[in-house]
Amino acid sequence: VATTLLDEEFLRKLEQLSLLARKIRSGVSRGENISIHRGASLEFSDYRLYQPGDDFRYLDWNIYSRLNRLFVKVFTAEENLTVHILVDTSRSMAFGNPTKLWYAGRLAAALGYLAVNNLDRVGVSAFADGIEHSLQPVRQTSHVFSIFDYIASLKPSGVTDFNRTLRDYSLRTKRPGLAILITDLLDPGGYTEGLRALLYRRFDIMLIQVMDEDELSPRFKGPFRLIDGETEDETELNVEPETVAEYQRRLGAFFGEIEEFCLSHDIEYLRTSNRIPFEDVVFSYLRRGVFVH
Amino acid sequence: LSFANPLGLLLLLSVPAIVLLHLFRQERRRQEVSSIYLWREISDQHSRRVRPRLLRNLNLLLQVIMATLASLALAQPVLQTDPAAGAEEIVILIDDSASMQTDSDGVPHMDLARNRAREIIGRAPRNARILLASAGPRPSVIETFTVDRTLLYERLRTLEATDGANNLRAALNLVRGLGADDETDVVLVTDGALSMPRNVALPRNLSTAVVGETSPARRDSSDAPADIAVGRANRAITSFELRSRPDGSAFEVLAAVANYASEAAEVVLELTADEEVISSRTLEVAAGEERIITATIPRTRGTVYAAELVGNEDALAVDDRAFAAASGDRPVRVQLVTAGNLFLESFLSVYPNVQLTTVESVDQTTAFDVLILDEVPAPARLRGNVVALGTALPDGPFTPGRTAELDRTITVRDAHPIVDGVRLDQVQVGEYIVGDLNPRASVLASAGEDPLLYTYRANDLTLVATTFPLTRSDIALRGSFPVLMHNILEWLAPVAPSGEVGYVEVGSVVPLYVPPGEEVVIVQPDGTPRRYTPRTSPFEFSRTEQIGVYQVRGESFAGRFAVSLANAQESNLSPRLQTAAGGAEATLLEETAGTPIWQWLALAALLFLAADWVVWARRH
Repeated sequence: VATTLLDEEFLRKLEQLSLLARKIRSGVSRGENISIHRGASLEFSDYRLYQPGDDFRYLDWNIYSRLNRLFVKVFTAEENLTVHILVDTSRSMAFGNPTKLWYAGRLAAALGYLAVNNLDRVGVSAFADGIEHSLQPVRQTSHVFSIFDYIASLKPSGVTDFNRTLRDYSLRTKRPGLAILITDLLDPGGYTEGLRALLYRRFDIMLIQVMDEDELSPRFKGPFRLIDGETEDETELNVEPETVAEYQRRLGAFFGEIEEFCLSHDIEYLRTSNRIPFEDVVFSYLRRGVFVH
Repeated sequence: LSFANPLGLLLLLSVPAIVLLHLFRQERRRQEVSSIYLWREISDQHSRRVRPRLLRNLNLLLQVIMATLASLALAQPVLQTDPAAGAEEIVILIDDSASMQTDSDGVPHMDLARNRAREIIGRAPRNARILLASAGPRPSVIETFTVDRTLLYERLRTLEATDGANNLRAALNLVRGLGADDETDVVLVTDGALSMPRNVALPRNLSTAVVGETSPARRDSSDAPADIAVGRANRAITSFELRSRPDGSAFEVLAAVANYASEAAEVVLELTADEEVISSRTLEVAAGEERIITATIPRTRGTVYAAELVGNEDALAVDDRAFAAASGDRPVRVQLVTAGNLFLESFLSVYPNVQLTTVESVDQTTAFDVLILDEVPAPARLRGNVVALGTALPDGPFTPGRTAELDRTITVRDAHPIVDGVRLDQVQVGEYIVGDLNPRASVLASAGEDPLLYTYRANDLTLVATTFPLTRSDIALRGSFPVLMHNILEWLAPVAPSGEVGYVEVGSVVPLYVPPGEEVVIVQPDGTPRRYTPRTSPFEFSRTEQIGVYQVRGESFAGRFAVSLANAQESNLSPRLQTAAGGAEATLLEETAGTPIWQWLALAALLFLAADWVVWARRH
């Protein structure tokens, strides 16, 4: 991951994405998409005529004295967004070519870069059966290099315990914000409890599920002893075309359950494969208005 | 389909072993996946469908096929396509020689041959025309080409093994003579104790169906039987000759005893004269050897002589005995019709065993064996053996014309017994009769187109004639004259040479010197009488299928003759059909063993092995 994450091409793509993000932000109407997470400082934006019910504290008495008309000052709330990027580093993320972890790392780096450019607080955490170690949220442009270094140092290890990890994270986090989860969600223990825990702490959640192409369409056939990459459990199976079809049917049902849960809990969900260029994924998120506030 | 090595089929046991190995020890490759929890339920569900999965296992299928093919190849299958199946015309040639009297597990080979022939008939197309013929001592057609299966089965039922040696050469010539062409399938049903004759054009579609111990079904290539009757080797009298001493007082006997076993044997050889034992000797005969012994038997001791291996329990009984008999001593009755011929009269008077009657005109009231007409007119309707010198029979083959003087050289036909040793080309002939000769006559000497000496056979007439009188040539003065007359009498063969003792081989034709028109009764060795009224002498008797002494009786005569096997080839029961080699015989042998297909099976097994490897490699 470290050797290829920060190559020249990647950085050029990040720059393009950044420009694209600004362009999108400028096209959005003022006053829309105001974050519910308001910061302490207010920045003057405009005047408008007083409307019954407006806060008298924002009446501009100087203008009233000169024009004898009541105007209220309009301020834009300065977003004080904290972006929590959580990257699954369990052993299952080591699969694929490129590995799912490598792909997740690029996504995390790109999203982190955009968030830093947006002057958000950005923290990055790696998790498997718990939070391994974290890069605490910092609002600083130079923080992007720390993010890159952190992501480049990630190594796959451990067994996924999604629910426990997110429950712990939601409890220990003082400043909830936007949680970007990059994982394959392949946890027999499920994922709903963890996501609910984050939602309870009023996190906005972006869930990015990264799958390997061979997980979507297995290409091996014949008698196999399948070994779980995380638990090393085994199961014997003759992988025939109908077996693969059955697997894909079950995988589709699994994806359907995730989509349904996310839709019902207002969670941004995106499923991608390590064969899809990461910038397409990021762009897709930008189109949805993420980081525009 | 038969198997030369049925033990090879034991390899088929590997098939269930392979299936079990695939069932319980299916080789599974390790495949690491990010998580198996989606696979696990599928695996549980799938494990309940083991058998269908096995069926879909291409490697298992290929390995089972390969093992089956390898097993079959190891068993060395021989495709016994019934040689004659599918042919339009089939000739079934059944070996009914003496060796077919042997048996396998108590079943006579002749019975097996009959069954085999029935199988061939049964498998032949319904419209196939089948001919049955025997290939024994006297090859003959048992039933000519027919589609009537019932008739063929009936003929087969009556077919028995003879006491004689096979005569395959004559049998094959008979088949050729019957119009069997290259399209005709010829199947020789035999026990294999024979070898193909050399220098015989074999039918293109000749094949053999060997029965008994050496049949392809029973033959074990690693332990080929030494003889067709396994475990019971044969010992035989292969020769039994009697020769009169010069003074005529006794016979010198020569007998040969052969041992075809792989171990030395002790045999007792007994010589009898008119069933009286005159000699009994115990002989030690080495394996594969022949012992020859001699003895002397007084001539007065009898007229039927026999040699027998006493107490010889072996595979073939018919060659344990041999017979010889003295023929009757009846003289040749010659009627010489002449106006006077010193040379003829002198010759015939000193010729042994001749009873000469000289007359001036033909006396048909007196029986004769040979009638010699010396420049005298011949009466009409003459029958029997006639020698016409310078005269023509009124109803004979020669129509006389003018008389001419010979001014050309004489051309003599080569290789005829009558002119053997006779220098006719040096004879001076003054006058001869020019005329027309029946084309059926055989010219032995001629001057240009004109015949000088010829023979002719009609229904009841055997004629030797010259177109020149003896008195118009110098032939009577030459040394060739007695030779010529001797040859003529021998060729006409009116009686057996006096004093000879011997036998003929089974199936041979025996000339019986009996008066024409007189009933003759021939009693076979088994006591069966046969009655004939021959029109010519000698009467050729051919039903000599049994060994032993045949009694010949008539109103004015009595005689006997002996028939023996005494044939080393027939007594040798080694399966020579399998061991001979070379030439056309090799083709026959290939057919005999059927078409071996193990090479193709082995090749197919290899291909399946390669396919198995390819499938395995692609999956890995």
